Amino acid sequence: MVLSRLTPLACLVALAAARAPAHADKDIVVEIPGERSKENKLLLGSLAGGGLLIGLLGAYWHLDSRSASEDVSADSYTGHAWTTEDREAYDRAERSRGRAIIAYSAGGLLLIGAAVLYMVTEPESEHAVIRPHGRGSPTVTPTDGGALLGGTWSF
Amino acid sequence: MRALLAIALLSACAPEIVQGAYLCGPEQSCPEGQACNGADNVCVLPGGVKPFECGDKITEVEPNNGASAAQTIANLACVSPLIQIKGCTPATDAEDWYAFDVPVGCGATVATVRIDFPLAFEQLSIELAGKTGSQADCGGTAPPDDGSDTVCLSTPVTAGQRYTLRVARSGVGDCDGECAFNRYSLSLQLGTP
Repeated sequence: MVLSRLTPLACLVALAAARAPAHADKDIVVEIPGERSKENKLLLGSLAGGGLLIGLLGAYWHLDSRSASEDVSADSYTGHAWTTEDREAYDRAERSRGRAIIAYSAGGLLLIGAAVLYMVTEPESEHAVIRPHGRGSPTVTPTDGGALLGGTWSF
Repeated sequence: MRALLAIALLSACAPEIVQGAYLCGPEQSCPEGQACNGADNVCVLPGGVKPFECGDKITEVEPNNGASAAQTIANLACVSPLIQIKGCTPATDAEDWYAFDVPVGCGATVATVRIDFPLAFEQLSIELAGKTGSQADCGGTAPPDDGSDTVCLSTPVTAGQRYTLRVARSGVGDCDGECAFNRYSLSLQLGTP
């Protein structure tokens, strides 16, 4: 009961505030972030994904090289003869090491390329300016048990 | 930068083998950057390689290059202790002959012969009483990975008879003639079957 009597009073206060001259004509600037194209996203994803995949391959060859290398590396007398199996392990270590270097390099270049492309193709954001024309026109819409206060501007 | 880091990390994955770590494999094979030292069949840096030599522990007596000139292995009993001879077949000496007598009065007797030699150089063979030795005759177990090869032979012998034993280069694993030589340790024992 008390609330319904207070509602018209509140609306009058709001209307008076809306008609106040302060800040009424100031521009409203809204920043709209740019959006990447689908092709751009696809290219970036492909580069980064490819780099990661090749990097993982490099890690596999790295581990394979380390395993084979540990099989034949020796820093003291082993008492064993150098066999065909040792030769194969040695060759595998060298081969996998070379592949790992190539894969790490290629994967790294792709990731760096993706990062550079990400920065270069960063879409510029747009600024939308809202210029209120004149004073806003307040609106009051009665509702059940109160009122809806609003305003309209043109720009 | 990333590539440099990867190369730095991978440098730890390159096989590192110090000289002297491995014995020479078949046909003087050694790790990359090393070569087989002829004096002791150990893999060393190329600058430290010495040519093959028989060594100063040889108990073989030359000339023994034929059955008629065979070196005698004396004083064998029907059940004899293991007789060992250190021999050598350098490039100029393809075979060595030994002779032994089976004592009179022995019952059923078997001569067991074994020869050990570095697998780095040309393989050796043994022959006794028309029989040729083999790795399988050494007991069927895989040879130890100690840089040596072993050939064995076991054959019945008759009391009172003289036998000649031939040790010769086999022509196998001679590095196309570059390692046509070897050292060996010959063991002979008489015993009951």
